[in-house]
Amino acid sequence: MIRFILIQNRAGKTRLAKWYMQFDDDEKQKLIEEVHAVVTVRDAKHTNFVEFRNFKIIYRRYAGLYFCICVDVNDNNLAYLEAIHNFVEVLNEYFHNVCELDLVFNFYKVYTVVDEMFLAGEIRETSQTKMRRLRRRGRPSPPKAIQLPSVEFSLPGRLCTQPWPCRFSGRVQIVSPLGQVRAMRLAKVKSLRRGTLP
Amino acid sequence: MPAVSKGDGMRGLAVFISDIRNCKSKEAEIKRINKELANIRSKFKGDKALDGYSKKKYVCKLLFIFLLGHDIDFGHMEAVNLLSSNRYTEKQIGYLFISVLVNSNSELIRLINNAIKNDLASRNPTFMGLALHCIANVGSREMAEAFAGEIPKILVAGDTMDSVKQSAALCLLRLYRTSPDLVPMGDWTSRVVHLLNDQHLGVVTAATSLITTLAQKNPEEFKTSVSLAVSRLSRIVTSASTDLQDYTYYFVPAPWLSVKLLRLLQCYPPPDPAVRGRLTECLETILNKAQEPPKSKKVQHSNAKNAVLFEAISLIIHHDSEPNLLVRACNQLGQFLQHRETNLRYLALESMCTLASSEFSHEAVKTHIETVINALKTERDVSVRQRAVDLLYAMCDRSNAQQIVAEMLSYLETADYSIREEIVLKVAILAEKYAVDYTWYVDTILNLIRIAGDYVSEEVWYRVIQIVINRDDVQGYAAKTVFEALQAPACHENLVKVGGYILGEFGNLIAGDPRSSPLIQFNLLHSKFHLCSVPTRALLLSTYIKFVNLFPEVKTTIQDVLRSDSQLKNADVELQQRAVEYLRLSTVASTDILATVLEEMPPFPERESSILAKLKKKKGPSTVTDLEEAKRERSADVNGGPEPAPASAASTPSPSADLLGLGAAPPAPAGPPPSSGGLLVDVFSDSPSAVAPLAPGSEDNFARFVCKNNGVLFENQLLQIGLKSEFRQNLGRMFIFYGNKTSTQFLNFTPTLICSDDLQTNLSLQTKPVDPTVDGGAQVQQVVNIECVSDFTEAPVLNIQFRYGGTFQNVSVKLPITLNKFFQPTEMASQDFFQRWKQLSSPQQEVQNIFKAKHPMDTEVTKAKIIGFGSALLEDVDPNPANFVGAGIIHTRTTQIGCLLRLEPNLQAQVRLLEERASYARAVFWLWCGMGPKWGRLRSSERCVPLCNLRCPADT
Repeated sequence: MIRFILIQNRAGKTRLAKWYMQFDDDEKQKLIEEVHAVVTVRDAKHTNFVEFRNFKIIYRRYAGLYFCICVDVNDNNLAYLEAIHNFVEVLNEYFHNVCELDLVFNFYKVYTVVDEMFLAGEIRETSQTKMRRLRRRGRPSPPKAIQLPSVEFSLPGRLCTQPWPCRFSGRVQIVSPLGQVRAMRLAKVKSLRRGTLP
Repeated sequence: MPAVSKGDGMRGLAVFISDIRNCKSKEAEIKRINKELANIRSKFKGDKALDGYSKKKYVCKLLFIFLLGHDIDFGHMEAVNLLSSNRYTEKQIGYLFISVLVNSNSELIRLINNAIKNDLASRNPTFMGLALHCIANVGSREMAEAFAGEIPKILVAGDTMDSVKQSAALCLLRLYRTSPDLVPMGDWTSRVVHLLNDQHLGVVTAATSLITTLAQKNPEEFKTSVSLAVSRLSRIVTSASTDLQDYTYYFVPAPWLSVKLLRLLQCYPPPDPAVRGRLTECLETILNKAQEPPKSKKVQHSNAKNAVLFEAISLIIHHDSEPNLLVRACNQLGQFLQHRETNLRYLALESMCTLASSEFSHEAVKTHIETVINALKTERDVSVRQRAVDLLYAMCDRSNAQQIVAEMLSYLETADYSIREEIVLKVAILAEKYAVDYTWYVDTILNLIRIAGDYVSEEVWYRVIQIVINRDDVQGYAAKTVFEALQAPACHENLVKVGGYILGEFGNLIAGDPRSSPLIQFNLLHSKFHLCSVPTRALLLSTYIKFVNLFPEVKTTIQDVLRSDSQLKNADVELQQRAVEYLRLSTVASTDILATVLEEMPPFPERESSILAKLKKKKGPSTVTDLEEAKRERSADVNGGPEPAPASAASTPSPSADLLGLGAAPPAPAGPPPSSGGLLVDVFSDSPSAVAPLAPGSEDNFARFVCKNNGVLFENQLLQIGLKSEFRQNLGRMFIFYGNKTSTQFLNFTPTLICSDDLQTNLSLQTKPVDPTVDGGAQVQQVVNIECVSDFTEAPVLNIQFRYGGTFQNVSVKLPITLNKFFQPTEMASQDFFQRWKQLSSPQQEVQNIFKAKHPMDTEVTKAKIIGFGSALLEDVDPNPANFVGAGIIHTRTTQIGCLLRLEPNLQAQVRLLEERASYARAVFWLWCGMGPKWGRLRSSERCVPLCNLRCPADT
């Protein structure tokens, strides 16, 4: 069974932590730090699996984010590795091209998505079609780029859904937040001139 | 679809998050958070009622603050309020808050449970889903108590929506994992199995996880799942990649479900021939598909396909019965060994490791030895190399041992520090296990010490000495080899130990050679003396005295050394004592005495290698690499190790006595403490409970306490719970002793007594909280005052929660307070007894049970048992002297109930008839329940009356 799911960025900031086992707060913090230390030192030639205490971590890196699932040692590695990818594809569709900021600003929605896909430490639903109904319930926030504060410009581009390093970058659209913000600002200025800003 | 008001983006929240992200320093962040907290607090306290949207927004902000790592001490009420909202987004935030900030505040739990109950009854699938997810996320005992009965119903009801079924299945799984005692098997189990046939693959996916877990604990009840799983699996693997539509993942049909089904099948042995044929077909299809050209170049496709393949191989290995499949699996894995994906190479090595232990595929695995050795040399990822070492170890046998050991030794020179110790152990074991020629063995171990001396544990060098001593043919060679090895300018201390010991025993075998004359041997050893630690020096001193015996010509040299100030006045007591005693021994004892005292060591008794035990421990499931503990155990192991010192030193246990094998004896495993009721324990049953390690909630131990009052209720590695209790009339007092068996403090130690509502009205328990910290090795005591208000059946549960070394521990045991504890014996004459017996003749007042005794019936033991149960034993009452008769009164606050009891053994048939009559209809039944676990176990033959039948007339 899954013991916990962590999404961390390269700096070690946690973007999602979902626990399926009882840990107290100190222990959680320790686990988060240990996972970060274990996972970030590995490179692309390494496996996507690391032994971790009495468990193992299956992880995958997408742009600057590490998606880690901690499971029992006898669990099926590849099944969980693909469960991560399936999850990322669902997030990608849910947020229309997901980026790290989506997970920050809509953390409460991410929890919903997680609960639909994983429950009680087991895989609950794998169909991406079925996950689409989620979008109808909780709509993701409208134009997120407007909320982008200036410091975010240095962030890496959109998550591509290919495992890092991205081999098919030609096919996956990489949109820089900077470009998007500029476009939004331009649109704003235009609509101001026209006097049509809501 | 819920209407979207003001957009559910919660602009205020987004602004707040942006602000936090813009904070330049930790202080600024805290300041901003405090400002927000003050704002939210005033909003919540304000006169104006907040609308749902604002409430949701503020609760969500609080949640964000909590997730940032700050404590939140308010807002719970508002979150609970959100639960009863009709808007999805508000409800969702409410549930999320509850799930993340679980709070066992009893007031709130009631409200939360109420809200969940409403949502479960709402028939709105979205709301039901939220409620079920909340239960699954929290999974507390309170929730299990409230919903464990409800959820199976939802799960198997015909009109439940598919998505709700999915959630219900996994929710039930969570409750079963946390409180298995609250999730009784029932009618629903057979219907759950049929969910494997469900049309909706999501439901099957969720249900398979539930069934797998349940089947692991109750294999018999879920046996039918095997054939259903096989047919479901066969439908999936034979389907075209488009058949399953949205459950097809990168052209692989339902990969996760297939994996889960294969996993479920691993709970059982190979099925019946008919089903087995189909299963074999499935497995062959999966193996065939692996050979087909990929339908997509994407890694997702191959990963999903191989996930199923690896699980299929696990199942094949688990069944270990189809040689054909095993060999095919092995060939498939062999291909993966050279795959360009590191993941696949890793998994192939791992999987092959288990395959190597099967007799059918061992030879097939061996053909890949070159590839594996190559992996050891070229893999970049240490974890892959580690798997390669494991596989080499697993595939090793007599035919390839020399090659494998040589490869491992050469790898050891460059191996990562983290895995060196394990490799050393493995090499040592293989060398010993497959040694044909023991000179090879000695060479290998000496090489091991040379290459990785620091990682050679005591066991390894003890073992080499044991073997050399037990085998005459290798002794001379060993002496020569160590002598040569010692000539290296820098040699490891472990080598000095081995060298010292072996030369001390067998130095005479090479003394004939002028290059290794006694004096040269001695000087060589003594040149290392000053660089060594105290235990090694002590060992060398023993070697010196042995030299005195072996080579009289060096006696004076050695005496000089022993006499020197650095020995006689050594600061270390052990060294000083040895020097003094050995010096004395060498001067006063005649040659004969010396020869007797320092005779050659007798052979060691053959036993399992302690190295193997160590490796097992290292690889065991609880591999918390606790060096300290390993060391402690090591010193306990040494008892059987070589004893380098002569008997004269045996009387001086000292801090360095490890070497003597006299180290503190291993603490005797704590047996069950003698209890006054020992006689009463397990009169009839198989007595498994006496030392049995108790699973939480174990009925066995509870049952032991039905007839006794003192003893150990629960024990595991950390905690021991002892009980002492006394009862008089309707009152009782119980002392609970919690013993910390570790050397570490328990923190937040909180024992709680849990009574169901029913029990609460009938039994009053009063106690004071105990100190939340329990020091290592300490014992704390808790007193429980008990009053029996009215008759009762259930027993209270004692739940103990504490933190031990950072992990949260949770133990629940049933507290043995049963109705018969309030049973007072009454003496009665024969006439009175039968008069009353006849009065109590209405069917409601009588219970009869016939059961088969499992054990020979011993009169004295049975008598003791009846007295222990609480009633008086009336002798000379029954006309048949073989029968046992008892009488007593149950005292409760409200009433007193007289009870009579007769036990009629039929010695020939080993059957007993137990009859009871009571003046109060319910009491008879309750009394039975009180005896339940103990006596219930006796109802093993089908001839007995099931307890539920008795319930009908008596239960009012």
